[in-house]
Amino acid sequence: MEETSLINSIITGDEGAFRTFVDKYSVLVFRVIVSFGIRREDAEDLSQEVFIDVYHNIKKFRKESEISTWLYRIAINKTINHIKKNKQPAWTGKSADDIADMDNYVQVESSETKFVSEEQRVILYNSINRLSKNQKIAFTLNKLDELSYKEIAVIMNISVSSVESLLHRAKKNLQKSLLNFFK
Amino acid sequence: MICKNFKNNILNYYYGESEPDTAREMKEHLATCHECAVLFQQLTGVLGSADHIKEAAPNPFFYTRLSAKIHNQKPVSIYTRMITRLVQPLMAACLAALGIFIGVKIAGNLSENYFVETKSTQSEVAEMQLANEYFPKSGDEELIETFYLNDK
Repeated sequence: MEETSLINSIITGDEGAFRTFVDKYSVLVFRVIVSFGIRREDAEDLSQEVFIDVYHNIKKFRKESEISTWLYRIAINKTINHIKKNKQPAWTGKSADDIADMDNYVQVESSETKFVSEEQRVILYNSINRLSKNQKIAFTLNKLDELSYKEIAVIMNISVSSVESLLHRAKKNLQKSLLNFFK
Repeated sequence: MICKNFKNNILNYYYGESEPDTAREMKEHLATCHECAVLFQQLTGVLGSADHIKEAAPNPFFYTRLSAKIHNQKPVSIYTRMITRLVQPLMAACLAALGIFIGVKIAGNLSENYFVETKSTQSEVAEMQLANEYFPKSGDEELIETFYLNDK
């Protein structure tokens, strides 16, 4: 089903169309939330909130941008608000259990490699947490979610050159932080 | 290339974003410098640890749960929202007024008690003065005791 007709069907209250929509975009929404370091249970709840917002407000969607851009914006806003509200920073203060919880996403690692990757994730997330909010968003979307500069610019509502600048500074700061750690 | 330059470009090199000439020099340096090779290996491990995100997926029952959540939510009418928005600040104002009233009452009771205590203290002093006039002084008591002792 074409995206526009899918959206129109959801507006008319077609449950099947909404299910198709959720099946199509749930992984995208879930991954972007997870990439901000949110725990699995919270990421599931936040993903549900994103789709509930979509369900209630899809009439307001102006079809000027792609629906995925809209979904990214809602997901990022909800994630950032969640972090602020719970004062649970995405990347800091992660206990070993929280990090271990991340491995539940992908249950293919052996216990030995799991232990190493847990430690490495703590180092990575602690370093990313030292970045400013916009640097974090730009870096996460580009390096972890693999979005292009143009896509990030549309999502963050800034110019491509601003994205480049943010990413340049994010990489410099992250490099400094990681080199200090391995000194 | 020296180690300092290698470290300054290490992240760009990891992400394959170095200039071709720089990338070639970095590669050559990696082959000759053991310390930088170890550092690069450690960095690769840390940056690669986020790869789990690429395979993350929500629970298979995601839609079922979502659907249940949507249908269990009662639609809130605009009037209910308006009433909630009006009642909440009103309740807060009432509680604040009640708090002030209780505070004033407690303060009033305390000051009344203070006056009562002061009054009672004044009357006690007057009674003591009167008692001192009528009752014999300690020196007189001793004299009476001595009188009885001598009487024996």
